[in-house]
Amino acid sequence: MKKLQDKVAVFVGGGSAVATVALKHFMDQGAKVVLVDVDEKYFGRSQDLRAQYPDRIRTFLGACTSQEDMEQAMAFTQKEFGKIDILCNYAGFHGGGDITTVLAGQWRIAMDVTCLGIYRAVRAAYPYMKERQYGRIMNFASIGGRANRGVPVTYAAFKAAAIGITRALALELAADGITVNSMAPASLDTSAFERIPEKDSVPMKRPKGALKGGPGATQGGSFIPDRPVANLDEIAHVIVFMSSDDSAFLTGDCLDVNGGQFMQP
Amino acid sequence: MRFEHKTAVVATSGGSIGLACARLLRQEGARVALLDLDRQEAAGLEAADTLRVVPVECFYDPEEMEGKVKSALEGWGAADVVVTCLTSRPPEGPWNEISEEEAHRVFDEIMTGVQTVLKYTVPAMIEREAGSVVIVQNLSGRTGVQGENVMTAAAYAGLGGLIRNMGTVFGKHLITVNGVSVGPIEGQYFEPAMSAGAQPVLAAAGTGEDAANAVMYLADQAVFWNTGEIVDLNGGRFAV
Repeated sequence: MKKLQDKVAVFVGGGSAVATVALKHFMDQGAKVVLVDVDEKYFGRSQDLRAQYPDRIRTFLGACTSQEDMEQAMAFTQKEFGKIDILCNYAGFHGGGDITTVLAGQWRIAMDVTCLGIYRAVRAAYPYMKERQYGRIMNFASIGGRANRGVPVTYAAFKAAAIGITRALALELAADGITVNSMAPASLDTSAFERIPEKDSVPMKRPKGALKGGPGATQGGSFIPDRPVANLDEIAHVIVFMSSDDSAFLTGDCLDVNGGQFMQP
Repeated sequence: MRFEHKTAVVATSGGSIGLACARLLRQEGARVALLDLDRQEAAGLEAADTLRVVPVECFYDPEEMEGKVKSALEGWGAADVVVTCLTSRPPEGPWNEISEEEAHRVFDEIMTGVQTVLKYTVPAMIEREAGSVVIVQNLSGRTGVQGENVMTAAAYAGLGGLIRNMGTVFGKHLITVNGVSVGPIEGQYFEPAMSAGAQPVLAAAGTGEDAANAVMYLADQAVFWNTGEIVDLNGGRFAV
């Protein structure tokens, strides 16, 4: 039996490379998916899949920085597919700089997208999941928020906050049959996708003294031979697990999927 | 004395931890600039040649902090040690009814406040290629604690990301950045709803001095080879 047979999922930030590959897996496993993103151009990545599964994929233009957009996205999903079982929050913002150089505007966007974006989406999806006493929420975080990494401070701080809000939401939603987890991959192989510049990002020079390689870098470095960075299918398998009935007893956790680069005690 | 000839900046919301840090650092020989939000608490502290008390209206106001840090360190040069003990009153009501204003307030008071204080104190450390930063956060930023508020828990967790990242980025300048994550501390601002979920296994309550001692351990040059570390100080409630 397929792992996500007849499940309905919302992908916030559904135009990302990770989400696009996960979408294929969700289709293979029998799900229906609404992709939510801020710009039509992100939906170009899923064009072929949408043509292949016209009855099972929908797109919705909306930003996780707006509670109203999130409410409308969830209402749209309910209307199109009749329920919401799964919410995957992929939206994140890299930003730039270190603690001394970070621009206030970039800091604020990171706060609003990477951490509060999760809050708004979960808040909007909650009534639908609560009514059916079932839900799976997956927040896509990063090793950048988890370990000693020389990433932009905006990324490190608000990915860590995203992992923190995951734990707190897990406690709040447990009584309603909803699990909330995050995952923290390291570098990903997105080479198959054309890069779309990050919206509202201000390019900054690498902070003075920041590492270029070695411990703390995000240039890959898994211990799995021939695979310094994760391929997106491997990441998608974990997302499917986290979204399925199989993960019913997993909540408040952060799955480190990083080829051994960082091992929690 | 462990901090003789050292200059310390302590930024506090005004609870027992920040005040204990200022007091104990002075006892160990440091001259201390106390940036304090709650002027009532600090009112009892008398300025002296080794203590400056600088009232603060808003830690995340960059204009104010640039001026206050400058005047706090006037004639003292760069800070050797910077300690932040910033907290925030949790928003009231259910988790799913927190307004945008309240959410931003919590993140600004806890995270942006720390970022702003460090923005104006760390550059001088980089110039000197030396310094210690210690950021005090809360147990709810480290693990799930029943009764915690989702926003404050997230913001404290965000401080963890800041600590690890700053430790990595500034290590090249021999600046250490560490944190102390505290359980319930007497006299510290704390969320009462969390108390039951955060009770220690040790048969003793945590004090501001306990936290300050952990801060001083991390700031002490004798323990230099330690950065990006968060000490969990919670009477055994959470151990990993």
